[in-house]
Amino acid sequence: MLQEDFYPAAEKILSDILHIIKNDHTLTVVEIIPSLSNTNKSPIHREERSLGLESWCVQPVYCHAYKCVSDIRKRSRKNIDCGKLNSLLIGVLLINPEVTTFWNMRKDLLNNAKIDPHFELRFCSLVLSRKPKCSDVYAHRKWVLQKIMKRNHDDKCELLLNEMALCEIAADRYSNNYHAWTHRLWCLHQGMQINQKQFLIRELNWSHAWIQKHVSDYSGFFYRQQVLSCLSEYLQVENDDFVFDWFSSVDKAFNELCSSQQICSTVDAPLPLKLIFNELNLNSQMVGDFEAHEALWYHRRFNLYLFKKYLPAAYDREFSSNSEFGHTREGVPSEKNKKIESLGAQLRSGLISYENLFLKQYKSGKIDAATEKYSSRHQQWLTRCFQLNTLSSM
Amino acid sequence: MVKLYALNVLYKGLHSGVWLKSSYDLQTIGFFQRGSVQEFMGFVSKTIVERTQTATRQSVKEGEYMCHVFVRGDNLAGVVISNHEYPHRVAHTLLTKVLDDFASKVPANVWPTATENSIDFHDLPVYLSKYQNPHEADPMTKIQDEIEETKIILHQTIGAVLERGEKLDDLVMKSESLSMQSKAFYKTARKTNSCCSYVG
Amino acid sequence: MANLLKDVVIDEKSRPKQLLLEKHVDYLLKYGKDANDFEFCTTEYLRMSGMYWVLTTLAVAKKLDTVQRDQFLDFIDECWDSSSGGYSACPGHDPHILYTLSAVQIAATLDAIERLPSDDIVRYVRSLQNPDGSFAGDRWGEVDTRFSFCAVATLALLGRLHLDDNDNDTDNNIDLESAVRFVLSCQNFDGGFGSRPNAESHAGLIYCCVGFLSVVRRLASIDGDTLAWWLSERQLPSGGLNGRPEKLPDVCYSWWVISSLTMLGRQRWIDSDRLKAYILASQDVETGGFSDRPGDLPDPFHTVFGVAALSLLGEPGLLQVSPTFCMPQQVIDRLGVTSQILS
Repeated sequence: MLQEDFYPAAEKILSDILHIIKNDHTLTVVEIIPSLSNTNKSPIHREERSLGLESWCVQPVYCHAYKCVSDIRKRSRKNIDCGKLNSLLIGVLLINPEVTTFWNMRKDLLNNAKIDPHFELRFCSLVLSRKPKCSDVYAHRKWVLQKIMKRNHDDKCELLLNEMALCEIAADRYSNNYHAWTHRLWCLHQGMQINQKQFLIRELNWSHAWIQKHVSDYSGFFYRQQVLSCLSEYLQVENDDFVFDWFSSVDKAFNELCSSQQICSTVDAPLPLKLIFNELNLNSQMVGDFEAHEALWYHRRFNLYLFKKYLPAAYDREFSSNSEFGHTREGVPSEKNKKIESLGAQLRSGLISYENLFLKQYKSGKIDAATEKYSSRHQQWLTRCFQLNTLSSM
Repeated sequence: MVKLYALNVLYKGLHSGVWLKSSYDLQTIGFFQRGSVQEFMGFVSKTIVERTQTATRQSVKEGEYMCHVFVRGDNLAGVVISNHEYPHRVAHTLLTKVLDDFASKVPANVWPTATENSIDFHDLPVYLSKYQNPHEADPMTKIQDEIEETKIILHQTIGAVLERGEKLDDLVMKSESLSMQSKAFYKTARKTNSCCSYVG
Repeated sequence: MANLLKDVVIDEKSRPKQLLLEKHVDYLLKYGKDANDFEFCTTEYLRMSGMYWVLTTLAVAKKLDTVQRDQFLDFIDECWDSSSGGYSACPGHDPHILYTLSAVQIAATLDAIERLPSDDIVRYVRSLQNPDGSFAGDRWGEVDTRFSFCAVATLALLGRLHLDDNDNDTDNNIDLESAVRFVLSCQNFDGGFGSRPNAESHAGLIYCCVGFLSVVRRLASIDGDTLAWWLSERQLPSGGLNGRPEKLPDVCYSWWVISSLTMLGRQRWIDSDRLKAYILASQDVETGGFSDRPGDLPDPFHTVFGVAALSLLGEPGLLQVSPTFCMPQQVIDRLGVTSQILS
């Protein structure tokens, strides 16, 4: 088909798409429908919450819109028909959202109040329904959100929750979706500035459900690690014991660990350890349920790392050698710090026994080759990177 | 994601598979693709049943999907289509249970000549939904005892299940049960090449 | 029954076992010549990088004489934005640090650095640094560790990166200390780096951060063992490397992992024979070019990283590649640029 002949048809298709996106707020998905030829009917379909474009029109519409925008850029920037430019940019970016420069043109339109920022968020989410991992879309969205949040007209919490829901859909559509998860983390940090505890608990619960349904998606586990890290910090600073009510199962497993070391868990053990140990326990269960998933073994490493980080501090050799941390000038630890050191040592050896017991299940010849590989790598990692040297000798 | 898409019951007849009952959960698939995906899953289910020996279990990888098939000694057959994360042993336990249940409710003499509409068995959607969460469906330890894992034959590609000289692409294009639309979808899906982000 | 690993199965009989260099050269020289309108319009947004991939592959293959030097240099000139000082991906698009580095790399490989408006490029790079040391990709402010690498690599190739505090020219420099601090703040407990602080470890971004530290000679600041451990776990039974846990192997990740391990002086932590076999298996024997995985369609992006990785692995017939800059080492030497490589 010659480009010139197609001109009116392309203009019509572009303005129809813009019209539908503008007026239909129930729309959530854009799909390309493979079709064999041009049937001379409109290539736009509208069903359920989806907008479908027949594949035959994709190339000519894209080329038409791309060339028109390029022409506009060459000409002087004054007297631009912003409505038309909007529909051209939408036509290009819906099909190929990686043209960074065209997103920049939309930022200019937003800055000049030629596009409504909430329309822009809806448009971006439609683009993500087709290309859930496109980094340009997330960068643009973040820019738009910051613009909206600066105006202070809207409920920030609602905006962020809406944003997180969008990330969930994108992460579901494309596994290990790096940009979707980075974006969600950005939202979490924004939310924590509004209400730290509420956002952290919400994300703790949400990510708990997520990882159980996405056992091989390490990006999801990594996000949960960030939530656990922030929550551990919060617990240590605030000494808020809400986690006790949160997981009734935490107590049982953690108490067993403590009692094996003659520790009074409710009095002495630092709060974050309770949270982290619960996660470790959950991980033990998941490694058993879903065999041979590297993501699960990597998440385990993080739990051990965090557990070690929150072991009572005086135990740490660096701290012990530092006179400012609880040692008298003569280098003799104070009574109080002796107690902390011994608590740390007890918890540490409790953890080592726990880990040994866990690893024993994955040593015998009964397990599959991949699990055997992950378990032996885990053992090596413990000694090599984590420096739990006692393990190898046990 | 841990996900089940389809649960189908067929009878492996002498020359071809007979559809007894099917159910799908394709809400996560886009509206305009859903019909084609369902057609394609039906096509693969029947193709695999026809190429699986009596009294055999197989798990076959096809793109982002896993097809688990169990043909019993009496040629009653079940197919589960899941994604890769769904534990295989749970998929096969589900097949055992569903086929037992089916056989107890629908007499064997009707299997070879039945049609989907004539069969009074409506529990497939219930099973499909219950087993979406593999952990709640059954305690794992129990499942492990029930199925000897070594009895499941694992295939990296559907090509390994097909007969000598057969190609899935050809079967798809020749198939009369697939619409033009579905064939076009199939072709597009094959062509897509992953592209990753790049550095300067 | 084992779960199926996310990996590919390579057909031992039919896999290509030799480097088909002639075919790749033909593939690249023909590339884009028969592109239709649509292909042209959908790839224009990264044209500058595309030209860097093609040129670098040809240079490493010792086939630089097959290209028309002026075509590349004229293209660069057309993409320069005099008001900001940066380069865009194609004429008429907005400047970005990604394409600024590509433009400088192209000029360096063609021995034409002196033609570049160095002062303006330095001004552009400086303008993108944030108070926390990070770099934005362009004036709209998106931050990523990729851009930190682009910033220092661009300056180094121009001979305008000053590592010595006592240097008289420090007024013209970026804030190096905060730039280093930012990159280091992106390291995770597993030793890897992400795009921002607290972002997941990713082999491509690890290359950028290790490359950054190599350019500014600060590799000693990180725990190389823990990082190399994670990197070496990227190798799959097929021999190929993935970029993150439970992802498929990919030729471009093979480059990013192997180049990072080389900078860290730990290339031997992976099985290089099996990696080599995987990369060679990803060649397209009919058209030439490399794809991400055996059997997929080839493209110039995977071709440059396939060839560069093979060069690092000691494949004969290729120029030695700098693991830091992904350019011929002799170009880097000619410019008098040094980067830190641990032994």
